[in-house]
Amino acid sequence: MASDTLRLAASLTHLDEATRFVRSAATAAQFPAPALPFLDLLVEEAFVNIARYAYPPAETGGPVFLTASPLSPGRIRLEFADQGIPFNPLERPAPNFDVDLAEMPPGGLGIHLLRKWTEALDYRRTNGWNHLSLTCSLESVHVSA
Amino acid sequence: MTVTGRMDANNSEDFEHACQPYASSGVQYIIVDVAGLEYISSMGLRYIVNVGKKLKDNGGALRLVGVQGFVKQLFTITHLNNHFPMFPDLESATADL
Repeated sequence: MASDTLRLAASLTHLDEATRFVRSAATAAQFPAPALPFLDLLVEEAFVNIARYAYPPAETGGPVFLTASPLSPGRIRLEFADQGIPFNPLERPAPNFDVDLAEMPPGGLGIHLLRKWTEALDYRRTNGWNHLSLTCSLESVHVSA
Repeated sequence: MTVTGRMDANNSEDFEHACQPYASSGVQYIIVDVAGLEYISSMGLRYIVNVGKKLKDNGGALRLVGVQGFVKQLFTITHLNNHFPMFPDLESATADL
């Protein structure tokens, strides 16, 4: 199974393009339709972070490379690479769910969802690039083939 | 109110804008039918939480009708199902109001 890479500008206007690209790769990797919203969500949570924070001020459209690598039927690795400011989303603390609605902070759910629905989630900073890698499988999103 | 399709980073703010006039005027309960909602991201949840907070300040709540599939899993995994009462239909959502 071959990898494919899409170059995008770091802007929310390109979110749909990123989602379509991954859906196509996931379908080729035999992900059934019920699994696709989970992949949409993983793409959105990762891409929105880059679009909003990697190249301040937000939405200036620096480069993002999105690589989809089917690993086996029902298993795929996605990698986001950008040249923005160093940002490791895995360092963000887990949200505290044991709070009243009034005290619930506005953010933090996205990284929780990335952790919950991937079997591997890795970040590295190499030669001025952020690399965020997500490995997703039917098992990690609890969808049957 | 009925929400269908997708709530993502590009359109979820519309939900809060639609609810804002009611929440600001002291309305206690907004019932949202999400049976036709196919997808929601953390950004969509953020705006639902914002509206829920305002209604709670008013002494009420945001009630959800028809939560299912992917949307239900998202509410469960984020524990937001503990903060937003869910009902199978509009009749049961309004029974005690």
